[in-house]
Amino acid sequence: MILPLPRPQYVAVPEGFITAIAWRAFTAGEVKNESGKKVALRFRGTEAVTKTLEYRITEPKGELLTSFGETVQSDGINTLLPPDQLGESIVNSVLGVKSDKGKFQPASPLSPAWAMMQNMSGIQGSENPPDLAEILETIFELGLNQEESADNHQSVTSLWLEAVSARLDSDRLLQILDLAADQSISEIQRAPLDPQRSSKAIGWEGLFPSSPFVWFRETWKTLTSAEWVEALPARVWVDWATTVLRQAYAMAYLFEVTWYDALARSILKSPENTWEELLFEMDDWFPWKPSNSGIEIRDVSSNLKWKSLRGVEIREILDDWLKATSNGDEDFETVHRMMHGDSALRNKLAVALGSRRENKNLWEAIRYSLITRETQGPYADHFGLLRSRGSRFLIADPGTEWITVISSLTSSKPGSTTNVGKVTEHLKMLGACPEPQDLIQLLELAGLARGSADADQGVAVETAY
Amino acid sequence: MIELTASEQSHLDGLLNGDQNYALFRVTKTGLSKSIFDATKEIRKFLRDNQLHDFDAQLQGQVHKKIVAGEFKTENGNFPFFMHLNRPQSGNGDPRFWIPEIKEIAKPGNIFCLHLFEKRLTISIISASVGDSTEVMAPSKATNTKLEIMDIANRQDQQDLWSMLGNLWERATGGSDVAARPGDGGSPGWPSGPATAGVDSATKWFKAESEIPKFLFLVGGPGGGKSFTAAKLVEGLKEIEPQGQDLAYRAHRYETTSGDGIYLVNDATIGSEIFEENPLSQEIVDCLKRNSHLIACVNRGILVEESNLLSERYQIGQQLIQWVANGNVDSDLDSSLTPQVTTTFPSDYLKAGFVIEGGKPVAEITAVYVDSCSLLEKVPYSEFSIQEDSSSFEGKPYVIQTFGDRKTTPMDSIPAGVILKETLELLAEAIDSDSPNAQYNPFVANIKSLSNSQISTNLLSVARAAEIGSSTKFTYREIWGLICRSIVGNAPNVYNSDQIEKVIISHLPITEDAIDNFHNFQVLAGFRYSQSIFGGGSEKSNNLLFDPVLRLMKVVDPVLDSQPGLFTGDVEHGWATPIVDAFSGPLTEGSPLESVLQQISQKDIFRNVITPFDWALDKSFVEAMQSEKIKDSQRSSAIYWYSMYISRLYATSNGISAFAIEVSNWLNLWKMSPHFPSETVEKQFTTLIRPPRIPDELNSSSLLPVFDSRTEPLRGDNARLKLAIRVNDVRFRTSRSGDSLFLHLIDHNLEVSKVLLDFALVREALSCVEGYPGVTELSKNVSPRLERVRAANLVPKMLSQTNEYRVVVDGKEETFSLERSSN
Repeated sequence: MILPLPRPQYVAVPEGFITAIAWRAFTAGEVKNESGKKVALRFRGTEAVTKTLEYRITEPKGELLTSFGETVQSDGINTLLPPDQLGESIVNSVLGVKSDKGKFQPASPLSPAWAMMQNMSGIQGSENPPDLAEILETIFELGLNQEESADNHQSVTSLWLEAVSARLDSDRLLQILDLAADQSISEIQRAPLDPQRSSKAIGWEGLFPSSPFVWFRETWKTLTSAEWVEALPARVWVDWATTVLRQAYAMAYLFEVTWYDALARSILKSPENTWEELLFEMDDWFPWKPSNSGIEIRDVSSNLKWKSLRGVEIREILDDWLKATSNGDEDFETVHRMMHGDSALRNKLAVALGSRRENKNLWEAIRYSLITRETQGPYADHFGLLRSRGSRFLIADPGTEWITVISSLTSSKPGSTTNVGKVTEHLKMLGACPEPQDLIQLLELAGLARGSADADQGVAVETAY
Repeated sequence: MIELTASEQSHLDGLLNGDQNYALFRVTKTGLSKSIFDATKEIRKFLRDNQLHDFDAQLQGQVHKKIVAGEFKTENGNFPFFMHLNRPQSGNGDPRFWIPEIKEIAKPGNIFCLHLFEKRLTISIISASVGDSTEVMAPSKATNTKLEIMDIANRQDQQDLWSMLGNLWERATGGSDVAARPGDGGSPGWPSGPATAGVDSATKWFKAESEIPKFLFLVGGPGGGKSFTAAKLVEGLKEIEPQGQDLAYRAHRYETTSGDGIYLVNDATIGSEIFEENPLSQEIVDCLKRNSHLIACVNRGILVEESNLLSERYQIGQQLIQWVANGNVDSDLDSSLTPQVTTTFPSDYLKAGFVIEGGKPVAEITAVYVDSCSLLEKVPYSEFSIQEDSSSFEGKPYVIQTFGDRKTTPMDSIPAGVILKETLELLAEAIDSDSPNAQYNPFVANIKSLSNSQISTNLLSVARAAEIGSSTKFTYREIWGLICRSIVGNAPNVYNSDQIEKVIISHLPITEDAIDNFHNFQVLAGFRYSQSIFGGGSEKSNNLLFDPVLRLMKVVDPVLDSQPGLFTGDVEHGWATPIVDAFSGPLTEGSPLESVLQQISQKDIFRNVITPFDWALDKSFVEAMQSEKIKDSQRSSAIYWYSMYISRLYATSNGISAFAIEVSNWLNLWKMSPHFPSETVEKQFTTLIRPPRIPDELNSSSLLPVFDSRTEPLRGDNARLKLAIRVNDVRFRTSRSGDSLFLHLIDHNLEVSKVLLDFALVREALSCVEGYPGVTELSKNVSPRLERVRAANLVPKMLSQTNEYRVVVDGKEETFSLERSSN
């Protein structure tokens, strides 16, 4: 009844998702300074020390830059270019997205060493950042269906490791840069760990057959497959992976709060309800309105914000009740009936459904994952789903590359053709249901499809690579 | 009461099968000569009982005349008629009726029966003329055109322009999307477009004798003529267990003289009551089992949907659907099993083959893609020929004409041209130029302007540019929408057909106030063809987005791209200068229209498009400008509006669309494929795809950043230090498939990438000058596509072959290379 998702926080830069996975893959330890203070790693920014953190910058400068250039040369790049210039050209090449107001700029997580140029403390500016990798693993596990082998060992991290290994094997330049970064820049001696599946979602297999969890599981497996790794340039693969992780993160929590919303209404309404009926009764968790509607109609900000806040409150109420009554082990229908029979609980839920209690964490986590960060310039974010309209409105207005990623990954093989029906099916799992004409227009603008008067769901959609 | 002979009674009984809902009338010599019949009590009752017309409620006078459409049923086929019903102004206004078409088939003394067939008003002949044994025949197809021309002559007397225009309402877009029922006749009175590419030859093939069943697939979107073709194929055949006429049904079954009948899937989007899953696949299997012919009207969505749900139970059905959908049979299907599908004739618009089982053909199959060729291009030749012991299809490829070629192409050779021409001929005959206020009638102005064949040809050229600009083709339904807009503007979207005369009258610019008159004129001018086809009239903003015609045409509205220059027949030299000059200066005296005419050549077709309506509008504009009451804001607004009006009228009459240069280049690229039409264009594409780092040096290398999110090439001397690869040895070629054009990138003889070469990409390429990539309003849409093309150089496979790594430092390119891995 209460989904086993850890509580989220907004992720300050999109690179944080892969960085979190990389840190789970290679070391579970924390970086600390001599005085035991946690070290927050950032790639480009300003070094500082606070009460709880020491901010350390990993971008090589001065002598370190020269040294890095020399290391790269010794690792396999032959050039007459001075080492510092070689180093600078590499650093410039791997810079990640910089937000408008951001105080730092991460390295693009092109390889394990570059992914670990920053850590979650550095990204979040927090001593105890959320375990983002664990959240992603839990989402991945919730998407496991009952047919999949119970002893499968695939995890978000293991699949990422396979993908980056394949990339490094086939891309000599990146291989050299990864090695050199490891040797001369990294703050840690990384050692691979056995990538663990999340244990939080055991027993939840197949409970959400059409959900962001299933979408994420399928899509992540597709993207990390050898075919797709081979087909995409290194940076494009990272951008696509980040997009998939951003969507999974935001939509999973939107699904969660919509689930609680539906559950609370169901408890208030009727003593009897099955799991399947409740899933059926759930509202769309991402209200994507037609593009020809007015801006007030298209705005999702208010809807998602209050839904998120309500969801948090309902979750707390239900969780407290389950703990207090020790009924957590009963089957769903029984617990539902008992909850309906508890008038005090019903009163609390009724109040919560109309509540506007401030609790920004979840909403911000969702918002910052979906919103387009910088819209112009060399670090423009073309992978966002939401776009601000003034200070008040947020509308579904995906970047051209957002639809490119989502539609292309409906196909297991690059260089193939899928169709609008299939893309719609995947979007539906994700929670997004644009009007068919809007979807086709997005695909046409991205150069992936050509509309046809009669093709409907059958409009052919080319994969981008 | 007409007394019938025994044979006539027998004929009537056979016709009506016991139905007592009918009325008889005898054609008299006087009636035929005066073109009028008395509506007898029997006829009046029949019309009233069937809610077709109530003479009792009809007022006297020609203005209250009503026209009812119906169909003659004859031994040689059916054809439409219009029954004109009126009560003359004179005397008691005894009810009368007249059917212009009846002159073609009736002789004095013939008895006709007025009845309903499939709920449609029908006239059947009961007897030959008294004392004349000549068999009464329906006009043959060969004489149909003649019939229509004669029909026009009849209508001129009988039917006024308003009722004819009103009949256009049913042809305007926005009607039912449901497929026409096989028993439905076409809309009577209006011309039908010629069959689209491959349809005639496929029809001939289907009708030819065969020992094995034939499966015909008519593929395309709504409004493409699939159901119309299917209806023609089953015309005259008896339906087994006839479906009702109240609803649209998925399928119908017909008896044939040989074999096990024809199974017609008239609308595959309607679910099957018999086959829940993959109904079309199962229907194919069923037809094979029963040795039945099959006609399937199907859209591509259904084909894709059924191709995706694989099942071995009806594998051959799915193989066939995949063959129809894309010509390939999915490898997931077990190819060792029989039956299998083979292809004997492939083309863009028609594909033929066999279903083979045990080494023998068990069904002949043909798929016609009814919307594969533009209705604004010539229909490619195709034929089905039967030799002594064999039969086969032959056909020529689909060819797209350049604008130059179009100028000499007769309207008759283009499907849309046939309809436009014949419709205008029908309407032109009904115009009464002497009627009061004709000069204020925009519909009359449209008909007069477009009756000039060069002007209507040019209108179709603009429509073709819209197809290219929007990468979408007009269906027959949209062609009719375009024609209706060209004649009656957006009136069908706003008014009922019986209101239009009043709308025109209510806006007659005949008040004392010059400004009011001009405002009224603006409303009327919104119906002018050059305004309404681009949404220049009083359109709701949503119409521009969703009206099927405007959605296409707004892309090429000439005012989006008024190129300065004097038009001499070549869009490269521009056209808008005379109009700009006409609106320069104080504008208090001169006529802008006269000013334009003074500047353009004597041969300019614009002179022919101008009608009394336009002169009256021009006069009204001048009077409004001279009015002492006009405010500055009104003056600016009027000048803006009228300059747009003349611009559109000028450009459209000359066949000039917005972005005509780009469209013309796209057409040239298509024509010259796989080569480029000129070295200049090829250089522009080279600049677009791989812009040189130093723009002034075309041979300068193009550098792609290796790890950037966006593959924007590095430009200039001061490019930031970045790892890059040099992309130099890239060549291009083009390829075409139907209306689509593709650009291929070849690097060291290896195809790196292929991208759709559409209008947007051409526009982007043509904006490149001397090594500098340009920017257009389409750049943000084209950029991702371009970047993906460039990024194809950065995938591991390509990187492993390159030795062109670079870093730009102080304006110089420093190379670097990679040592092989020691592993």
